Amino acid sequence: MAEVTKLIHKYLRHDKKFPHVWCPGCGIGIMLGALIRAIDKCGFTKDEIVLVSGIGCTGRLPVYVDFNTLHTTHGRALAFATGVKLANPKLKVIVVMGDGDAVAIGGNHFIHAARRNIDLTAIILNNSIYGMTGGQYSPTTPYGMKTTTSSFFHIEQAFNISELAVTAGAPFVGRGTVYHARLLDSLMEKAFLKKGFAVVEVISHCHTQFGKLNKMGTAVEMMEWQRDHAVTVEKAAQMKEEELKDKFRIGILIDKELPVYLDEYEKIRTGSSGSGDRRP
Amino acid sequence: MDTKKDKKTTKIDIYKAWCKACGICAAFCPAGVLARDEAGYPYVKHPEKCINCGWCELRCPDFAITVHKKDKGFKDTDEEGEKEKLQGTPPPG
Repeated sequence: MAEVTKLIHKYLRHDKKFPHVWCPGCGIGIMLGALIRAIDKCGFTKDEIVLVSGIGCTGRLPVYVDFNTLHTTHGRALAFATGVKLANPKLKVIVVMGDGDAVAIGGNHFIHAARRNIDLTAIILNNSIYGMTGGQYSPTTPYGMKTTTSSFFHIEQAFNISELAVTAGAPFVGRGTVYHARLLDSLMEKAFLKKGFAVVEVISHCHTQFGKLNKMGTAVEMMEWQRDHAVTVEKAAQMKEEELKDKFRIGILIDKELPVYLDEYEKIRTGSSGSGDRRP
Repeated sequence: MDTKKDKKTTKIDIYKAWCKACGICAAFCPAGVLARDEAGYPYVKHPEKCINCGWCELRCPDFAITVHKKDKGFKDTDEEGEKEKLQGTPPPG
């Protein structure tokens, strides 16, 4: 197994300050490992990859890896990534976002990137809270949980990022947890190779804010919670509705073929220069 | 030599400079190889129990732990040396 860490070191920027900035036991580090392993397995070179991020704990991720990286404004990572992809379609554009970045501040960008089916991979780390800014509730904070801005209990219902992506029309949606690290590897690999808008939701933990306020314990205890509450898609199909009440499904939630934006755009472009019929 | 023992002989390196003592590696080790000291840092308590599954390496958020398979004549090789070993020596001509 020694190759795994050796491989990760190949892609890290060793001139940056290590150990990295995240709290001890934070799931972003595990996600970063899975991301690097998946990119390596797909056989992309460092120059082919563009890693785009927004603001927040997850926004710090591209700082540490040696790809073409773009650290953008809050919630606009997908907008920047769309521009990069349209300007140079040969690049493989990966967008790393937190839950606030993806579905709160950048919620509109997210649903419309999914609807347009632009060839991007969106990796969304869902830790149910705004960790970096001090533990305010985010759109994915579950009902009844405590945060610093809902100090009694949270009265709103949470977004389900994966189901939102499915409804918005994304052709590939997968969900994993940082506890199931190998599943995360394979989900990311499939997402990178998918042509079209691929979403991978990574259920993670914020023990510093969310865990402390809700008495969920340390990083280890929160990862145990993930282990006990995650059900694979195959297993969930055989379970009853009541059994799945406090569980969430992991695995590939949807994988379908849809016309990709860039291909369709190319048809218009070539059609306009010739005399052919532009309609499909 | 008995092959059974060879299979289970691994070398676990913990890179203390990057370790933040989160305890994930020790908590989720399926064979109970790792334990934590008073400060919370992991150490190899039962090296003979290691099954070389690599879960500590996959789940370490700080890339601070590695598991080496200890082969006969094991030594730390550089990247090129290992590549050569995998591909074999090129045929002459």
